[in-house]
Amino acid sequence: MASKSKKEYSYLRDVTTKFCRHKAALVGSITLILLTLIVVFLPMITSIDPYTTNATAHNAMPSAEHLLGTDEIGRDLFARLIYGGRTSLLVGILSTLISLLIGVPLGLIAGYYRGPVETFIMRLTDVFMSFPSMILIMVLVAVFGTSITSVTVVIGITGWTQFARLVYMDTLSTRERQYVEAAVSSGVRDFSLITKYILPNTFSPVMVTFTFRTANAILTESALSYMGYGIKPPMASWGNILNYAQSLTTLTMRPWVWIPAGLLLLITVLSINFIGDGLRDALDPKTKV
Amino acid sequence: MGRYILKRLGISIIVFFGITILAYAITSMMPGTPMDFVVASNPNMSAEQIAALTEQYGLDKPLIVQYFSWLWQMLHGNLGYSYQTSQDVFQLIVAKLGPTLLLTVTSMVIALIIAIPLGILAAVKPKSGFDYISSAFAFIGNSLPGFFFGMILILLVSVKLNWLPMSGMYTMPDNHNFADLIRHLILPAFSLSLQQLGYFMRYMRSSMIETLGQDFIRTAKAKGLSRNSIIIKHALRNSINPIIVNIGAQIPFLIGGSVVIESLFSWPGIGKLLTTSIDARDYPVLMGITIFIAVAVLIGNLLVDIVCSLVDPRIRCVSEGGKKSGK
Repeated sequence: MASKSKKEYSYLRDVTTKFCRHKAALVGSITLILLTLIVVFLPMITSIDPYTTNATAHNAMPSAEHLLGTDEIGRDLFARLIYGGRTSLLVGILSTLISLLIGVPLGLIAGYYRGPVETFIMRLTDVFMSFPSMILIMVLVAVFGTSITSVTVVIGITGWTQFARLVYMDTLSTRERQYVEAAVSSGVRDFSLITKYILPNTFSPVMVTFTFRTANAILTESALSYMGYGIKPPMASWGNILNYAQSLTTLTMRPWVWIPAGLLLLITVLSINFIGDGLRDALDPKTKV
Repeated sequence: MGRYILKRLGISIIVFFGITILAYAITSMMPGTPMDFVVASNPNMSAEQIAALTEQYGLDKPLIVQYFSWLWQMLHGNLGYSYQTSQDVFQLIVAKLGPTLLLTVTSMVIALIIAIPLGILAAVKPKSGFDYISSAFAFIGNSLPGFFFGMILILLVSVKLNWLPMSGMYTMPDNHNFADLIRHLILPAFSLSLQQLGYFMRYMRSSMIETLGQDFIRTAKAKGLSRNSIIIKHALRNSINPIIVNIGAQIPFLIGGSVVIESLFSWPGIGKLLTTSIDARDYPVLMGITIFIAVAVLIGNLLVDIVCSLVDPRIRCVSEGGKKSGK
């Protein structure tokens, strides 16, 4: 890893340089940061309100007062779009975090201890991967309810298999390395061996998977809420804004209601996917020169 | 060879039991026992009658006993009866299977027909303008929610241009006409294929680039073969196998996606059955669909793996270490 240049080699600097050279990833990061800043801070500095119904303006057209018009009970659609972004990003990130917290330890345990534990965990991933996650999620949400917590947890607990598989494969190859062998022979205990010697090695693939899974979780939440089985009004999410288009008149005559939510969804997911692609290129040691 | 297939088969049987245990666990978490529904439909039952029925259904037995009797019933094709219509769940599902298979298979074919040639072209000239455009296209396909794409198609193609119908499978319920079916199929199939398209295009590109960098391609070039013949006769054969293996891994995503697309286009398949069952809290049907599809996916993956291992022995090593999942 040591570089021949005068400057000391820094992995972080190397990764940052490579990441910034990936134009799409750079554009994706900037877009995502801007978008996050907007959905987080715009409600704090302006007085937009996604919940209050306006009795005089049902299904209003876009105007200066309501930038994107109002819904059928007079809630401001622009405010719902901004608050919906908060929900979509939050559900996406938190549910992926849950997946990571389940998948990474399982993968480490399976790869490190091998034997019956390995068989059990890997067959468990096979079981989960046999269920189309969308169907499993719909059934589980039907059982546990459609609160934002329930939706987040359900998306999280159905999405851990990829983390487990990836970390498992990585652990399998890492535990054969000489430095691990050296640590074993010098009496390092299992727990610190796994957390200090093996876990850091899985960082790059886990980061990359985290971004792609987040994109996926955001898409899942939106599809779920679009069908009316996810996050429900009065809480706003991009998915349930698209749900307004279940009504044919809204779908065909009032496209300004749902197209912005779909476009923001596309932009967000595209940005995250670009970032994931850039991270993969930047973190992958195989492409290192 | 035989050993590999046997091993794969053994794993599948274990996974099958895992699926049933998980599904049963979910069923037992569902609010309301089957007795609640019996009582609801017949409020005049006495406490003795309820107790007798509870015993008859085995609901007083420990959970593990209930699980095995349920499993035994299921292995005989009895997935229970719908709370809503009292119909046999298995038959309900089989009746809806045709439309869903038609939709998913068509969209997979569309995705492959478009993705494979585009992926190859992008791989042949990496970093060309075409490569960048097709990559961008693949990324958008991967990131655009299929149902949103479908909504835009409905708005443009059905409403503004009035070219294709926006919902259902047939214009007239009694008149099953093939051309009419195709007209109804186009929009939902394209909406559903979008995500697969992006995925397979990128996968084909990287698989092809990898193959083109191998020694036997250099040998073929050195022999003076034309570029087209190298790509079609040598590289394509070698780079398409990973794609076929991944079709199996994509099946769950495809079925999951079809639930949403069926809901958008009122396509009368399994997805529609699932959503109506959720609305009615019809748990036996929900569970039946979940198990049925999980087992179908399991068998599908098993078949794909066996076929591929017969075609290309190298694949066996790949799936030993855990096959690459979808996205």
